[in-house]
Amino acid sequence: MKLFRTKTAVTMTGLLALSVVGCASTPTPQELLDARSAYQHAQSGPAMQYTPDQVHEAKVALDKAEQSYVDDPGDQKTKDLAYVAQRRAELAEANAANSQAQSVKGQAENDTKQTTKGQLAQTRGQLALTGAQLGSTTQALAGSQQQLESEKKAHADADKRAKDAMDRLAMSIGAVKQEPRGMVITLSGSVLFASNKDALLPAAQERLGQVADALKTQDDHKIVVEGHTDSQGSAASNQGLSERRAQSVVSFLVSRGVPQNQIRAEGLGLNRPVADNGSPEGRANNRRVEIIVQPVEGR
Amino acid sequence: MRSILGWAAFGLSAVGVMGIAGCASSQVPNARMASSEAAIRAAQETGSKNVPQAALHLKLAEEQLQSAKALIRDNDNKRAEYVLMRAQADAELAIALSHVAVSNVQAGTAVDEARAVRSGTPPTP
Repeated sequence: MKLFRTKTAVTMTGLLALSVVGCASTPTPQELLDARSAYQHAQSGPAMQYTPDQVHEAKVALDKAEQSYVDDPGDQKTKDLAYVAQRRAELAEANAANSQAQSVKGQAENDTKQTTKGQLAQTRGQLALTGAQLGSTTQALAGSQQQLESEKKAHADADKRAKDAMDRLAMSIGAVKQEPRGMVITLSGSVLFASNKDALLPAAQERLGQVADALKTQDDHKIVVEGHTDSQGSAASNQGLSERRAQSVVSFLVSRGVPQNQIRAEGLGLNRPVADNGSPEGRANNRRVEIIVQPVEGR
Repeated sequence: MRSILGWAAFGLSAVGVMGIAGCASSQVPNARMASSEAAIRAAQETGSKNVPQAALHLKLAEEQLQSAKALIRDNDNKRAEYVLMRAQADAELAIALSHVAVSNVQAGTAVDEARAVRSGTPPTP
C-alpha cells in the first residue's frame, strides 16, 4: 500500500512537471515564426525612424509570445500572442509608411509654396523693371517733346531773324522779292561792275556788305548767286562774264562771313532776260546779279 | 507519514488538473469585447473595405469577433479573450492601412502639383 501511494505521488508529480515544462520537442508554431519575421522586418525598416514606440510595443508583444512558448510550447495562447505580435509589427510598419507619405506630401507642398513664392517674386521683379522702363520711356518722350519744342522755337526764332534781316534789306536796297524759288535779291550790274569787268566797284561793296549781313542770318538756307548779262556780244563771252561776276559776288560775301558751304555761283549769260534787250533801259535791267535764298525743305 | 503523502498527492493532482484544463470558467471578457468592436467599427468607418489589404484585415477581425462570441456562448471565456485580442489587432491594422492609402494618394497629388508649378504648367485636376 505504501509502495502504491509512493508510486501514485511520483506519477502525479511527473504529470505536473510535464504540464509545467511542456514538451521540449514541440515544433515552433508558424504564428511565432511569422511574428519573429515581422518584427525583424519592422526593426530593420523605416518604422525604427518613424514609429519606434510601436516597434517597441511589437517587441513587448513578441516577448510575451516567446515567454508563453517557453512556458507551454503547445498552448494555443502562444499562437494567439504571436498572431497579435505579428500584427503589432505590421501596424508599426503601416504607421511608418503613413508618416513617410505625409512627410513626402509636406515636402511637396513646401516645394510648391517656395516655387510659387519665387515665381511671384520674379513676376514682381519683372513688373518693377517694366514700370521703371515705362518711367524712363515716358521721361525720354517728355525730353524728346521738350527738345522738339525748343527746336521748333529755335527754328521759328531763326526764321523770324532771317525775315527781319530780309525786311531790313528790302527797305535799304529795294529789290527783294518773294518767289517760288525763294527770296530773290536783285542787284543791278551797273552798280556792281564796270562795263565788261568782273571786279566789284568800291561803291558796290557797301551795298553787298548789307546783303552779307542779311545772308548771315539765313541759317540752313542754300544761297545761289546768279550772274546775268544783256545780249550784247557773243553768248560765250556773256556766259563767261556772268560766271566770273557771280563768283566775284560769292567771294565777297564769303569774305564777309557768309558760310562757303551754303553759297554757290552760277553764270546764266544772256539766257534769262527780264527785259527787252532792244532798248538801253531793258539791257541795263538784264545786266544784273540775282541772289536767291532758297527755301529749306521740310520747313 | 501516510497521511502527509496522501495530501501531497492530492494537492499536486489538483494543481496538475488545473494546469491542463485551464480556467474555462473565467469571466466574460466584456472590456476586450467592447474594445475589439470599437476598433472594428472604426475600421469600417475609415473606409477599410475600399483598400484591399485593409479589407482583408477587417474581414479577419470580423470573423474573429464572431468566433469569440461563439466561444463565450460555449463558456470558453479565456480562449475568447485571446481571439478578441487577435480581432482588435487586425482591426487596428486595417485602420492604419486605410490611412496609408489615403496619405499615398495625397502625397502623389502634392508631388504632381509641385512638379507642375515648377514646370509652369497648371496641374491636371
